[in-house]
Amino acid sequence: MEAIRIQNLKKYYGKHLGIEDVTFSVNEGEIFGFVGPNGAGKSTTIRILLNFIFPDAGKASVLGKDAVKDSTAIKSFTGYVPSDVRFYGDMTAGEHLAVCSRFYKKSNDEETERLCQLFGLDRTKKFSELSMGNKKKLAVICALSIKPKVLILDEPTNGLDPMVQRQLFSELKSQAASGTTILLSSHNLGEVQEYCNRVAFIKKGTILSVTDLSEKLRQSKIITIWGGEDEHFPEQFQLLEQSDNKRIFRYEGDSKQLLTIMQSFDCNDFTIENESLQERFLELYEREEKL
Amino acid sequence: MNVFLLELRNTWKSVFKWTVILGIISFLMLAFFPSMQTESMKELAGAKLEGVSPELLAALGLSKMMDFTIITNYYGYVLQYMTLAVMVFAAQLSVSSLVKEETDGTIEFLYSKPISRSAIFVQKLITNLVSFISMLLVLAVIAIVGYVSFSEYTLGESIKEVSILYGAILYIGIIFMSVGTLLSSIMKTSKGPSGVAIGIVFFTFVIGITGILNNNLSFLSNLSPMDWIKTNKLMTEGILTKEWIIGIVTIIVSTIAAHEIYKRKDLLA
Repeated sequence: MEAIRIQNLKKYYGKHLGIEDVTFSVNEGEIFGFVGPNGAGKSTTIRILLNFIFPDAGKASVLGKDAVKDSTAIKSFTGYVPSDVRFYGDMTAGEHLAVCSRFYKKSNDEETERLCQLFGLDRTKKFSELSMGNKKKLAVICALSIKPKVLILDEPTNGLDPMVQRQLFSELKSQAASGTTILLSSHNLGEVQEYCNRVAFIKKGTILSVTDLSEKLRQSKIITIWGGEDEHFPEQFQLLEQSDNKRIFRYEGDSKQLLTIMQSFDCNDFTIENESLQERFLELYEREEKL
Repeated sequence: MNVFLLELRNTWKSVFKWTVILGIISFLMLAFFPSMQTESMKELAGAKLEGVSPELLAALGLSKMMDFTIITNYYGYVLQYMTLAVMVFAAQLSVSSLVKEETDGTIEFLYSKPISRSAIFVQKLITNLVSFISMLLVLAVIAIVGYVSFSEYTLGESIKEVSILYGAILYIGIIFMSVGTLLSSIMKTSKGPSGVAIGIVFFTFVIGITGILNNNLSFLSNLSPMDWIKTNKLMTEGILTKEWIIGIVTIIVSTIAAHEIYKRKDLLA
């Protein structure tokens, strides 16, 4: 079942494009990556989902509730971690957590306590005195402490050290396993590839592709071949790059069959690697640049 | 009432500072009153007023007959300048209330919680009102203590006179707050709320004076709430029906417009 549904979403800031015809959906219990360069439209999409801004056209819904009309209801079960955490400077982390919990009907003191222990947050410090990483931890704890059904994270690992990043993703995986839907906007393709089920690539306000990381990307191989200029390559070989006597292909198919094909080629050398998200990302974005 | 408490927590220091400063000024002015009752001061004040043109006197909220040995005449005259400061405070409080959190980015904290924009708007409005009323109550109590200490008024008489003065200030303060809230809902950045607040208050003050000095433009006084509560007029005529109508319509229209704009406003990053 779809937990987040975004259909033909469009937003302009005056004459400047925010997003144009964005459509994708996130399934329940899925960790969904949302990837794109700065200014591509990731935050605009998220801000529409949370009703921070209003769409010019299209619809967005979370667990069947309309992002504009039912935004209060959506926020009652949605946790949000902003990319740039800007809370109240002269309030302590503990006061923020207390204020945060008062907005929800159920008291989540035990969960808050567990998360504070897990991430090692000093609750006595004022927000203005916290480091960037600790500010992010506070936002993460605020979002997770409500035991959300849907979690929206906008570049959550910015400012977090590798240890805390690992703790965060371990926590996110366990939340997803218990049914929480996670939309993760990130620049870090490594973490998206490792933890997400699917990923949407966005550029200049348009979705370029939605890729299933659990299957398609893992089956996809990048083959680099030196020599073999006279060889005729089968249709499954998608040419990505060509220079001098070197050609790079993507192959999506059976691995055993690939080995058989490679044995029949007359080439100087070749390498076979699993395709990384980084390669998929660069290929998609460079292809769009050429267009 | 989460937003109300949060807002109160974030604004009380500024409210406290303004209240203390204005309270001290008010008390010192009242403490000066006994010296106004001496014969020499009475003659000096009378002679000074004689030499001033009636138009300028009116613009200053005075009349030739003004007897500064009556504490309400004296305090009311001082109060009109204090009122300017109080109105700047009220306008500043409301101009900042919506847009400041948008500029600082802290509003994302509230917007991500299960509370509607209307509820945020209403609770912020209530906070401003409570802060403003609290300030006026403290100032009124100080004035009553001053009346009782430095004049021959009884406690009952003091409460009655001070209530009229501060009740009128409350009324025009709410007008400035509603206009300030409307501006706050329209503004894109909170840079310079003090400038905007001073601008609103002094603009209406100046057009009021213009209305008094130029008979052809006398209608402008209707647009200057400060003119409605000049002590002489307030104690004799009170606030006129047309002034109630203009004020209440301004409050209702500004508040409804501010709410509608705020509800539909994009939160720009």
